[in-house]
Amino acid sequence: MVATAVDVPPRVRLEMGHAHLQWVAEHQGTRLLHIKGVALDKRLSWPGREGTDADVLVPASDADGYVAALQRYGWVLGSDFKNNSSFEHAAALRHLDFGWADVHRYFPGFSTAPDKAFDRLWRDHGQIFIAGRLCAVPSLPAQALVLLLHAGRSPGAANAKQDVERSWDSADEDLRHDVLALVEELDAHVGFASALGDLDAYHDRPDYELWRVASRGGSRLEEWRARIKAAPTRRAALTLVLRALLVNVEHLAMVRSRPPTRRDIVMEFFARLGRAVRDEWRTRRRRRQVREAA
Amino acid sequence: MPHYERPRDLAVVEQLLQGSAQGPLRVADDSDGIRPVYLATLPAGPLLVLEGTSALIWRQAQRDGDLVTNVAQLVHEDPTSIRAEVEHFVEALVARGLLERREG
Repeated sequence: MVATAVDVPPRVRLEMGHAHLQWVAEHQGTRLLHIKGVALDKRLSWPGREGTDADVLVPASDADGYVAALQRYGWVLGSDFKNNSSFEHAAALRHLDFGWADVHRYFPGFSTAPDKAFDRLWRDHGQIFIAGRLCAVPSLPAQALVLLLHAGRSPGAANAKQDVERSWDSADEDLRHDVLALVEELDAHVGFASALGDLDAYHDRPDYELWRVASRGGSRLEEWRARIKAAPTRRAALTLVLRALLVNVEHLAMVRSRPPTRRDIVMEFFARLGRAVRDEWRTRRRRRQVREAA
Repeated sequence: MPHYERPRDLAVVEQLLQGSAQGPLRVADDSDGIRPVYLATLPAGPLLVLEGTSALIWRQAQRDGDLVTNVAQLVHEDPTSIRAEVEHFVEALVARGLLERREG
């Protein structure tokens, strides 16, 4: 019998990660849906699609409590909801034994209120065993839609193309019908259009810029502008403006392998400011070069 | 004759079993040979691996029949020569929470 920290196949660690996330959810009384990766239905998967982290979705109203519970059981916060992406949808955590996890408090692309969207996915969820533990997974059409919305954030990437092929291009009529019904129910039109290369049809939607920057790239300043434009209220927009240049303390701690000092945070604040300006210049220069070459 | 089962809070991954994430969990049968099995008692862990004969004994302990006789057949040994070792190992698995004695 050997305690091991090495030579564990990535898939084994991923399955163990899902089982651990499930255990904590059961003891916390949180509903949990396991999405993508090893939880993905075989009909939508393809070789190499397993991913590198265990992805789960919780009701947004339970998300902070669940992340706090995970931290009590050995998970270390790598990036909180606000700092992980421009959609502010997931927190990244790492466990010494069970690898990386992404805890989603909503899935980017569902414009319906996050708790309502979760309730909709929960209504017809299925169950599978992962590492011997019974885990809830979204229905097949919901899994297909999750893959499509994920692909919509990077439609040119090789993985995204394969996901679109499995979840949409080669889907039968029934599956397409059910996916489209969910797009309606969850108001997922913008992300869905992005996955199928039709994003510009939604240029008048407040979250259009967010999807444009996510799927086609842009400077940090453009990303923040898009986040502010997509904010649901003026108050939320103001909060984002104030937060735009604040330092991601969790990320800094992870990079430096220690809690950052006050001086580290001040230095990083100015470094971020410098990076944002350089990034904007580079983006403008690149676009000018493309225009001149055309 | 004691019988054993896997504890409820034991996470188990039997490597190379196709569809382990999609279908109902099954105990590997003899055709699975002595593939490694990865175990973790939740929530504390750690992640452990049983390989070779260790994995075989862990699986056989969950089956009906006499454990020592079954293991002896699979490893082509005389039951009396391996009894003490097998029973001692199973007790170690129980002590570590990797097996549980089944009532009845």
